[in-house]
Amino acid sequence: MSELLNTLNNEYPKLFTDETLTASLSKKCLDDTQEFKTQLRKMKAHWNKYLQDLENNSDDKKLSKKRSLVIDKLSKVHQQWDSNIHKNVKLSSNQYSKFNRNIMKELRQFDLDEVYVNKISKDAKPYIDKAIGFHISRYGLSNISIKDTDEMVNYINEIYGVDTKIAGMYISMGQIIQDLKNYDTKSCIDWCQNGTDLHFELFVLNIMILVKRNDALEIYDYMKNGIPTTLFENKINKVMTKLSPLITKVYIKQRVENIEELIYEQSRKCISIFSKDYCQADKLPFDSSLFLIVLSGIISFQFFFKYKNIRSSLNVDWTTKDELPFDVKLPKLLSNFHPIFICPVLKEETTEDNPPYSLPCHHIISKKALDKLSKNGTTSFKCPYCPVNAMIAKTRKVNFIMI
Amino acid sequence: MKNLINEPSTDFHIKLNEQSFKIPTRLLKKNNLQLSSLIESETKELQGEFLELQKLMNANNLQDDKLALAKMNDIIKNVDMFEKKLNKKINEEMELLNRIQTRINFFEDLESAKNSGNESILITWYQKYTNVLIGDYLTRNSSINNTGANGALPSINMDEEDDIWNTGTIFLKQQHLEKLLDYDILINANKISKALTENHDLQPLFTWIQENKHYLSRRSCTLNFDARLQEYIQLLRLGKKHEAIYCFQTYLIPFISTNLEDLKRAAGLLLSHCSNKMEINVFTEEESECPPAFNTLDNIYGYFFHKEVPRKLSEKPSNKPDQKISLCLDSPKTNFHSSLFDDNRWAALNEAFLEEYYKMYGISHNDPLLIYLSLGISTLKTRDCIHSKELKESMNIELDEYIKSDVLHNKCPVCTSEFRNIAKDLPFAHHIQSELFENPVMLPNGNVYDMIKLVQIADNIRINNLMNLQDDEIIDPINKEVYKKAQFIKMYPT
Ligand SMILES: [Zn+2]
Ligand SMILES: [Zn+2]
Repeated sequence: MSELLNTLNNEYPKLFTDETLTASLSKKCLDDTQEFKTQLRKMKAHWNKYLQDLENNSDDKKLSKKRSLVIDKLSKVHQQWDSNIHKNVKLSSNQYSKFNRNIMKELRQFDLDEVYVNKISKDAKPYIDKAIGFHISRYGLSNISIKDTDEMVNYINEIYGVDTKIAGMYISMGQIIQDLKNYDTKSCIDWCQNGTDLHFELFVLNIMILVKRNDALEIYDYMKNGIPTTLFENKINKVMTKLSPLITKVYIKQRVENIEELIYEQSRKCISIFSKDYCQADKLPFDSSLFLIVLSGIISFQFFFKYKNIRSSLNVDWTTKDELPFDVKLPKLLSNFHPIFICPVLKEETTEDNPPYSLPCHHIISKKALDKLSKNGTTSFKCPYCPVNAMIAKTRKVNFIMI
Repeated sequence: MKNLINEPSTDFHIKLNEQSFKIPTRLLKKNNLQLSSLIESETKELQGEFLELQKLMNANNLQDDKLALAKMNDIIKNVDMFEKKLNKKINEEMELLNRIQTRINFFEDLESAKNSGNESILITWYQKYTNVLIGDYLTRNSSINNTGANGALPSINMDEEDDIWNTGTIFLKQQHLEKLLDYDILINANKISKALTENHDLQPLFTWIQENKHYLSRRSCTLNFDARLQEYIQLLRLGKKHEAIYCFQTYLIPFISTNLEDLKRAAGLLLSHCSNKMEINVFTEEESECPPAFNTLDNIYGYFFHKEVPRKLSEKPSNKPDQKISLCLDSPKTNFHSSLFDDNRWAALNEAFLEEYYKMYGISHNDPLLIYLSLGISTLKTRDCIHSKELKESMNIELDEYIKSDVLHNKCPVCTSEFRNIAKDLPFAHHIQSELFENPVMLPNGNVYDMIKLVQIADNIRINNLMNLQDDEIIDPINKEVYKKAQFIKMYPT
């Protein structure tokens, strides 16, 4: 468990006066004031009554007793309210100070600006806006109900400069995803090709929705007439394990307890398959470049931060002009975009100026290592990884190409 | 602790986002302070009212008793008004508390995504986080109240009460992320900032300085002086000489002990404006004669402000008795004077303001999105990035299209058209291990590929009839030469 979450979860309820966290600290001031007002109104009514009685010449003794009662009560109510409200506001102010202290003690300043050494220039704004446009087109549109597609296309195009064709494609995608989120499979079934995995999962979703309605006849009818028979033929095993238990329960008139959860998961599954299929079919990037880069930035932050601390404690300069001074291990989804070759002799990455060379034994080393071993081509040498002899004339520059 | 993609711990994330707890806490304290002074003044007033009420009641006659009734009515009305104000403050308090709760929940979601061991749940969380960063960026940078060509936003319901908004706040609301960001703080900075840089309007800045004068004076920053100096310069520029002099007297003179040099320059500016009115064409009516010898600050002061130089002011130069204000009498075209009229002054003032503003709230001065992008690009950027491979075109358009879009299509985010220009100036990642592919084979031209992929490509070309390839043949996608599989040379890149 995260320590800071623990602290926050311990401290936060102290900003309330009740356990259900509905009455904030200052709420008491309001409650007291409302009560005060009610009391004042009562006193006013009494006083009014007293005045009437006085004018009607009622019993003097009784009246003067009533009179002093009202006066006493009035001053008491006022004093009580006055002291309570002061007490309460003081209490809440102390509580906020305490919260502030306890939270801030844990959350020490972590300066984002300090690791931002290689700045992105202001001129890059149009590029950033474009990347944001792609990102929003890719992920953001399924949260918005769009009544007018053309208008939305123009909006994304105008604000972010996203190509109208691409924006249009992403908008259609977002609409279908939104339908799926609302458990409406029609638009997605219309889009998808018959017999695909997606097609199958969509029908599974539909059946689950029917299971929730608990109408056996409806399910029977749908399975018989609503689904292309070929679709389930080669998925019969999947149907048996996944759907049969649910449908059986409906037939014997039992409720499926977690059906809501199952439908939710199934719809997420459909959305995930659909997004992949859709992007692939239209050759749209599945992940936005902005997201992948931000994710890399988040992962690497801890390394930048560590390096910054080491650097400042050693008083070394931050020399990252050409290459970062540390390596960051990125997960699979953020690596393997390009081939990377580290010369096994010099432990340096090969570059355009220092390209990889193949030796006669088909081991590969960098140009610099080759020059070093062959004393600039003047002598033959033994491959550092096997007993084969090599001469510079027998080596060959190679290109690694990722396909 | 679970760690699925080498991502930082939840605590690290919370610390990176400390401001999301600090700001609402700070605002809560501020709200509480306002509440407290509201209560203070109300109780004081009521004490007075009750005293009067008591007096009336103590008089014990019908006349005063009736007045007491009216007084009670007044008091009830007062309490009623006060209750409304209280209610407003308490709603604000709840709204701020809600922000804190939403944020705690947000990081709890991260924690449980990590614990679930499910990468795609974690990725979804990071997408949400990225959207918050985008919302932050757009709120800071987009123009306010954009009522441009498409000012009416498609299919978006805005809250009526939001009087200032921009693309960023709309985006946050669409994505239901508005409680994760103190966008009100950001948009206020943006409003003041845009007023400076776009409209050369200082008023919003002055309002902010006034509201935070205690904080600013504790930090002993020069923002107030810089802003007033800019106001003075702007007035001169607009030819409003009297207002300029008033501004100088009221707002700049108090800085005489700390900013003497700047004041001399400012006074000099007024002079050069007077003596070059033809050229600058500002003071057309009033200056018929050139002012007397303005070679000392005392003279200038006396002339323009029609009063004695304050003691402090005349004492200082007296250290160097014959100090001439030669600077002031320079030609108006000297660097200094033109630099005073420079547009860059607005940009500099804006930067100084943002620096103070963001520091006050503990928010990073640079846009967090840009910080993450800079770090992320460098972490991803390889030596192979951004180079576009030179593809030989063949006569076969379909084949070329297939190879370009299906075979060589590069999914690297750094190499996209959006980021390649930005990535150009950033450092490369540091690698200590080769990352190649399985089964590397070299073709006679020196190109090394994944053997299985080469064979697959050849299969696809045959299936789709893109060209004639024999069963034992493959094609090099770069130079489109056909080779025999027998020509593969297995490589051993250790
Ligand atoms: Zn070898
Ligand atoms: Zn790349």
